[in-house]
Amino acid sequence: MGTYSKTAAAITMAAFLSAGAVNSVNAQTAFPTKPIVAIVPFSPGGGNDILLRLISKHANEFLGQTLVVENKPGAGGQIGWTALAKSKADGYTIGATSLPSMVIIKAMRPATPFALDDFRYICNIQVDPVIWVVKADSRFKTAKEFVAQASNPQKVINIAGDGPQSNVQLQHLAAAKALGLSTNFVSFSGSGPAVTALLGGQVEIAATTLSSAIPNIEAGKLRALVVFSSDPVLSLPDVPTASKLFGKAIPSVGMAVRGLAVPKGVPDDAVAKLEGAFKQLSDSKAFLAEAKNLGIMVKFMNAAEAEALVKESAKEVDALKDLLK
Amino acid sequence: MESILNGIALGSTQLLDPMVLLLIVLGTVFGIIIGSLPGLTSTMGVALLVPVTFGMTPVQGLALLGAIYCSSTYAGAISAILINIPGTPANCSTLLDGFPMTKLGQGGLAIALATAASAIGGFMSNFGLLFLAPPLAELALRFGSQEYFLLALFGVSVIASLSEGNMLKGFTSGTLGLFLAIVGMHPMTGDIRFTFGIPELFNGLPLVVALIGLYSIPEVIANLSEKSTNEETTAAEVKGVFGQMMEVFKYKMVMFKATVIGLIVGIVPGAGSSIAGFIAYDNAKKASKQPESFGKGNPAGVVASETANNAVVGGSLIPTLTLGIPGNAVSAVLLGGLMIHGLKPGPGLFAENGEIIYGFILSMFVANLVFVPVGLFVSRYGVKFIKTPASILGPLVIGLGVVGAYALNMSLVDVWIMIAMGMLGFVMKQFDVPREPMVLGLVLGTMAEGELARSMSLVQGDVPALFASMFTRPLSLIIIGLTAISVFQGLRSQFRKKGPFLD
Repeated sequence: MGTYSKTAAAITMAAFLSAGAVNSVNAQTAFPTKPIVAIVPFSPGGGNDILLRLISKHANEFLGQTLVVENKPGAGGQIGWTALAKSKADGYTIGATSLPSMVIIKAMRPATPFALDDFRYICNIQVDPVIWVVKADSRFKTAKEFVAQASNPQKVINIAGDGPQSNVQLQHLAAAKALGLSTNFVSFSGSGPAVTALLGGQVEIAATTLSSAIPNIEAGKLRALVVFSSDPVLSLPDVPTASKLFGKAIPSVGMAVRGLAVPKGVPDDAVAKLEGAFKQLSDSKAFLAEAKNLGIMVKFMNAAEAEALVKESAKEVDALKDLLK
Repeated sequence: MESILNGIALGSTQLLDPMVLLLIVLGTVFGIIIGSLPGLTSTMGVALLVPVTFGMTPVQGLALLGAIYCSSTYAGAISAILINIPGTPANCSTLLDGFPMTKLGQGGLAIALATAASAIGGFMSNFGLLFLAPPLAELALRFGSQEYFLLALFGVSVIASLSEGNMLKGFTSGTLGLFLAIVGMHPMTGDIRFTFGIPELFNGLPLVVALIGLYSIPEVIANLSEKSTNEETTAAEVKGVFGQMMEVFKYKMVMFKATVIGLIVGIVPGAGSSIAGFIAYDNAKKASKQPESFGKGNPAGVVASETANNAVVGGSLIPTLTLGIPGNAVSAVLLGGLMIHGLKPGPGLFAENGEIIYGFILSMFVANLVFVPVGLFVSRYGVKFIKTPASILGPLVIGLGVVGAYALNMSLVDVWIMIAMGMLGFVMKQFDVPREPMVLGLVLGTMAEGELARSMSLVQGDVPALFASMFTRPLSLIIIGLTAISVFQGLRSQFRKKGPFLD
């Protein structure tokens, strides 16, 4: 919660400073002098794509150049991230990152031709925690009721979710392990189809990212039971966090954290320029208003924080990766 | 009902903006070019122009994107009919009778019929979107994994009908398609199969890339190797087409059924417009009094598949708008476009942004009208295009194929996959093995495998329970019934001919 009010306070600050800041940074360095390409390793229309297109819509004001989104989907992001790692390190090719997906790929497929330290992480902009969600009229009134029902190995409950080997699945399996649940995770090709299956009554409960379930939650068709993040989320203040509700540490290992990175070797001043510009962008009122409307939770993390988060995520995923096999 | 009429009133005021009308025309022209050029698909056309819409109002932007979707789906028929290469995957079934018509010198008529049928299919399904969206969305929710699986099986039954005349070759082609569908990640376990370590294949053989290769390359090689056959095909002329378009009303029943098929396939997420075309084609063939004339230039085949694939447009937007879940790749891109304009697809969309959404739906009615004159105008020159010597046309088509295969995912590996599939397609063409069963196998195999695995997981491996639910869920029963009828009709026509089942 604290971070959000801080962000809110920062908006007013940034509004004051942004105009002057852009000019002074431009004076120090000429970068960028031409449009910047942003590789999105997923198809158009997905969560990463929408975030990047929203950023690109506002980027001109802060970068002084257009940001061109280029989708390079395939193999769960592997192709796009490999391309980013191998692209020219001049700062004109950046790419969307998504934790823990890139960490999971590396953990599940060690032969993947990119390494997590092939990148310099510029910043993170969006967080999207995993939730357990049921239909509004479900017999599970609370997450505790579900956990009580799901602890019986004789009567395994199906839970739908994006998969296989996704952040959602990892989050659910981590929670199931911590709480001693016996559930059957049924993989769907994305959170959208999992929500459809839930609405259609194929399953009683689903694990999805918050963003993909929120329209149906707001419409009163679905109900969130619990959110797997350290803080409660602003859009669903009444939904408890897992660790608080169950009174034990459940890692928010599946929370999607989306940001930007460049290949290793990009000059420091270009990285600093990009970091500064995206900081201003993610503080700007217009961007925040549109992001809020789309259900995108903005949480800015700078380069150092983003770098540290990758290491932390790698450690967490490594400890839990056997669950996905 | 009242809220819909209110919505229409609100939406139509949006359409009075001359800019919107101008954008519909521009989108239509762009869509027709993208659609009629083999290799460039509807998805690509819409994705390319999403950033262009940033500066527009939501209705303007959506009208532009909607016009591209409608017109490119139609325009793929032009190249399917004239040069035997589907412009977009949706038009695979159109070439079955469209190209033979061109060879018979009726290319102009085929295009006129395709244009009229597309417009009518698009119009009708847009009515469905406008008035029946909530009940159809309910229907979409009733489709569970097992229904998807059964639907895929129903689609496979069409292979038999496409293979008539040479069952062995048709089934070989279909089986090969089903096998190729196995390539990539297992949908439930994530195990990676038959990819040779190529990451581009992890998500399966890229369908559109495969289709570009399968159709473009063999056609070009065949044209170049035969000595000046295109003298015969130049008889096609697009003249007096407005009169010829009226002939479409001879096929009222065909169009009606194709519209229903297109709408339903459209609302089923993931099924895609190529399947709708094939199922409608098969349906028209089985209902016809002269099924043997299909594949030899029967206009009903063109009408059925073009009505159906344009009827998919409205259908695919129903789950996209009402549930926030796209019905296919194009509507996924459109969904992204909606969100960038600050609209939140989902149950609240019609209530919160009724003005914009009704404006968008109404704009697609206009788009379906506009592509008729624009399409016929383009076809006029398209016919001249096929008169260009094979030595010029061939490299052009290959060039477009390479660009198209690359541009889909910005991947050079995809170009190699396209060429490899082209080689396979050429061998198939040389041995007279039909390629359409393979396309169906490829599309449906992925769906059938994934959905069966998911159905099994949902019953936790209890096979008797799965069978029981297949025969107790009404929707499952209906699909099983339709499949049984389709197989029975196929067998009956085989026996009538008294030919051996496998000749």
